[in-house]
Amino acid sequence: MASVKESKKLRFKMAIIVLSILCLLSFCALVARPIFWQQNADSATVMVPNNFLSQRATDTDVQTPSDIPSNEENENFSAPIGLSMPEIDFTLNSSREPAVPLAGEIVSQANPSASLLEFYRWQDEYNKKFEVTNMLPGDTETRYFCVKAHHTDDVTLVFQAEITEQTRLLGDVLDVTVTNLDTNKVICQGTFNQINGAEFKEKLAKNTAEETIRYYRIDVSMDTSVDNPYQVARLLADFNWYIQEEQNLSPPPQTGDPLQISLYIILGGSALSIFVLLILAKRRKDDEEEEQYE
Amino acid sequence: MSNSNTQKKVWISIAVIVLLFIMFVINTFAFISSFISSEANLFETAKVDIDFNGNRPVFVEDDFFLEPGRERIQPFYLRNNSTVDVYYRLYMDDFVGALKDALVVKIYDKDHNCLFTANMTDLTRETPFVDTAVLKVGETKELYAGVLMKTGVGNAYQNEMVSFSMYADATQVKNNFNKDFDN
Repeated sequence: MASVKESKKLRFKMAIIVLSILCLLSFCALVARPIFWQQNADSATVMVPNNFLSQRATDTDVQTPSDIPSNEENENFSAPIGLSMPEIDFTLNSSREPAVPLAGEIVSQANPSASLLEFYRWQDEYNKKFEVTNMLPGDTETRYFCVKAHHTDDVTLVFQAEITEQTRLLGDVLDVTVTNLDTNKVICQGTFNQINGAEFKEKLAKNTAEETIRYYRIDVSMDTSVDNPYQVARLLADFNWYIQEEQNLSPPPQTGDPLQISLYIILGGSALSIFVLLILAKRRKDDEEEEQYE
Repeated sequence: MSNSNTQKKVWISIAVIVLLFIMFVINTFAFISSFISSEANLFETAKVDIDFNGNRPVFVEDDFFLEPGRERIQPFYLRNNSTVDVYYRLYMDDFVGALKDALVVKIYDKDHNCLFTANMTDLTRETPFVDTAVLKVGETKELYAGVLMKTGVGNAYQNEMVSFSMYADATQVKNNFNKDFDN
């Protein structure tokens, strides 16, 4: 009886040790991944197509939703003293439903393995989200995004901005411009409230590498004419990218990616270790039971 | 006793195993997953707000007993309650009474250096006193306002009075090279 207990105890101990090792290995891999990419020569010398600091494109290149309401005229952002600011209720932009289902939903249906479409080069200046405070009229904030899609045929890459929260209708005066840095074409321009939920599409042509990498610049600006009511306002938005023709997406090639290989080695090794340990434990238990009978 | 101890140890072991397994799953998921949505991008606008003498008048009714050549000086302050640096301007409006034509207004800094002088009727929203200095976030500026009755105005303004409102406006420093308050 005692030996059975001992055996149980031993198995628990082994399971704990194995899982601890697995945890440690996966954690190390998680930590090592960005370090590995950071040190990779390719990422240290990021080549951005065309110019980072290009002028805004003209309106002729711009896709704009047809039902855009006109913007009201605003005064300046100065605050006369002794006159309190007009109180404007906190307003959620719930009146406008997104034109399409949420991007996350589409992607999860179309693409169970998220690596079919991914943010690429998130380790450097790309794909960092906006966190802008104390924004003033005349300010422009810029972020760069790099999207990589694996596809076997022509696909449509969709960009969508989705407001999740806003106060004082800030989305009426925050202008968004999304520029494809490969072509320097503006794919989306308008205020947040104008483009909220709208789809802005770009064709990704089939190629021999079966993958396309696109660089985008997102500029968010506030005109100098924006008036006092927009002081201390806040807006939260998600920027989504997704592919429409899910059937044309393909898994990324496995070869040549040491990270994928190492991941499978870790998982395979872990599974094998558990299997071997379980067999050993079973044999030991059988031996002990045999000894007891004898 | 021994049995309950063993049971306790077994449950602890199971809990540890479950916890480790969950951690392993989370780690592995974080490792292999990638993102296509940049979530919760935040934009917050600044606040521009200054406190002008705690909303108290700079000159009260009793202050005004003037005669030619006599100046009355009163202290006041401006505090920048904004989240950004600002420029400020001072001006007067809502004049009532003929005495306004006989008065000169002066603005002094805390060391009594004169920053601005003009006829009272010339210190308006269109021609205000605009300080060249920046009022930093949280900074309080102590100033003095002087009202001087011009010499040589004669007896025409005896028993006359004036009342007026004094205003301070603030505007952002950033993106505002021309110190524009109205655009």
